Amino acid sequence: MIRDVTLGRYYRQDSFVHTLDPRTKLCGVAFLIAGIFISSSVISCIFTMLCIAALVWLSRVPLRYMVKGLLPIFVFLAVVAVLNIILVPNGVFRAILISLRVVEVIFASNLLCLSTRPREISNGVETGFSWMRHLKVPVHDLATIVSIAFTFIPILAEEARRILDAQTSRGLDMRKGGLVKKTKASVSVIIPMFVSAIERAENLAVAMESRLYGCGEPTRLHPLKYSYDDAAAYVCIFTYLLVVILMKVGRL
Amino acid sequence: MIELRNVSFSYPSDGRQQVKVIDDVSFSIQDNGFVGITGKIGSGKTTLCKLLCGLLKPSSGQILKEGRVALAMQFPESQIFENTVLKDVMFGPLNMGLPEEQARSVAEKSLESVGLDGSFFDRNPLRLSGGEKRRVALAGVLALNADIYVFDEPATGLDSRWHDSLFELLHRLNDSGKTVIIVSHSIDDIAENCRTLVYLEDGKVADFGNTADVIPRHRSLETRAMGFARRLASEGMEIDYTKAVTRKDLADLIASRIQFQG
Repeated sequence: MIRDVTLGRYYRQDSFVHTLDPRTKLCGVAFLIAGIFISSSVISCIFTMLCIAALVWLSRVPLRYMVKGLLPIFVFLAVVAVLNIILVPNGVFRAILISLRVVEVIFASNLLCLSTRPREISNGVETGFSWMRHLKVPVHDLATIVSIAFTFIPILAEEARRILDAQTSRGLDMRKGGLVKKTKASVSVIIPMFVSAIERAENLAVAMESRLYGCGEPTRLHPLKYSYDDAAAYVCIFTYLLVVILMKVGRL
Repeated sequence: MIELRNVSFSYPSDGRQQVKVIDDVSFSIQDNGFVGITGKIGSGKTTLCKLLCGLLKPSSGQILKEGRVALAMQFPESQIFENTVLKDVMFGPLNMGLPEEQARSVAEKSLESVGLDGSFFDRNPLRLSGGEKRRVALAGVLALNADIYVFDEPATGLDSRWHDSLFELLHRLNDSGKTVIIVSHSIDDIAENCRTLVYLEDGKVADFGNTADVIPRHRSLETRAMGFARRLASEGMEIDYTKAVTRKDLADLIASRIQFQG
């Protein structure tokens, strides 16, 4: 499953969604997530799902590619749904609603990562929240942390695959045995992963400092600029949220 | 013996066009061989390594193996996880089902063969130096007691002293009857050590055979000794640079051209 991780990976494509300003996409995802949590009926959840489906279609990222990377999460969701059905009164309705909500949140945030390069997300966070500097919030550092976190997800997944291959060639078989044996076996992958991640973080910190990170206010090579497409996207985003709120008020 | 018959491999597609990383590869390696696999970056060396060891399954074709294959991956020290050197080396033998006492004995022998004595056994492997960690990791692979050993870029990041002792170790392994396969982009390492060479280009076998025969046929495989000999030839020395594949060949050729006095 490690081989199939697509979370945090950028998918190169020339599409309407890819060319939008990262601030627009961040705002869009924030409004989508707000809309998902405002929705309390299956109909409004389905409406949100249709909106996300339209975005996926506009992004031209193959649905199969998106779904493949989320398979482990679907397994987790299935377990949660079954527990809801068994343990909670009116559980079938709750199970469907919770599953739909989680799937929507995952799809929305995954679409942001697939259509936006990590440095664009970081740039968008920094520019969009630049007003918070007046409140002494270290916006630039926070944006860098977000950017590095996104960059590291596929790198660490690749590292995990490499370590797993090395341990498999030493006779490790993660498919054999019960839960306890599998957990014990996973230690041989998790510890080298931690060691490697800490070493990488340390090297990155030194490399950044040696290139004068934190020594002054950095300038931008490509300053962000809104286009007419962004204006159209904002209209769609606000309309979506308005519809969801109206559905909630009208108990639809 | 290990034989590849029309082996091809493509990584799973992400919705775009699939690229064949290994394309219709066929060759066989005899027992007790010392084989080098080389090629440019992206030619499919590491993928071929994983196919040889069974970590990947070919998309088409067959790999026939007699005996067990062990793989030492690039930067094998990243596999270390136990809190003592001995326990880490015992990981493989225990996975093979050996009783603890026997696994301990195998691990101790492996550690000694890479030059780590008893004073290292109870130390934390994560606190050792880079070179020592590499030795622990190699001992972990040697402890598998396989018939065929595949080493992916074994000399990357080593200083010259440990580089030489690593190849001494590989020759000792080969002398003990094991088949050794080295995957490396360093043509000098392969020319100096391997008897047989597989040259990969874009996932295909561009050439296969005796190392001393294959190298002169490809300009991109020129060794440092050949480059030096070519320079001497351009300066007017009567020397056939294609025969100076190794440092020893070069020394012999130069010696045959020098007239000693007195």
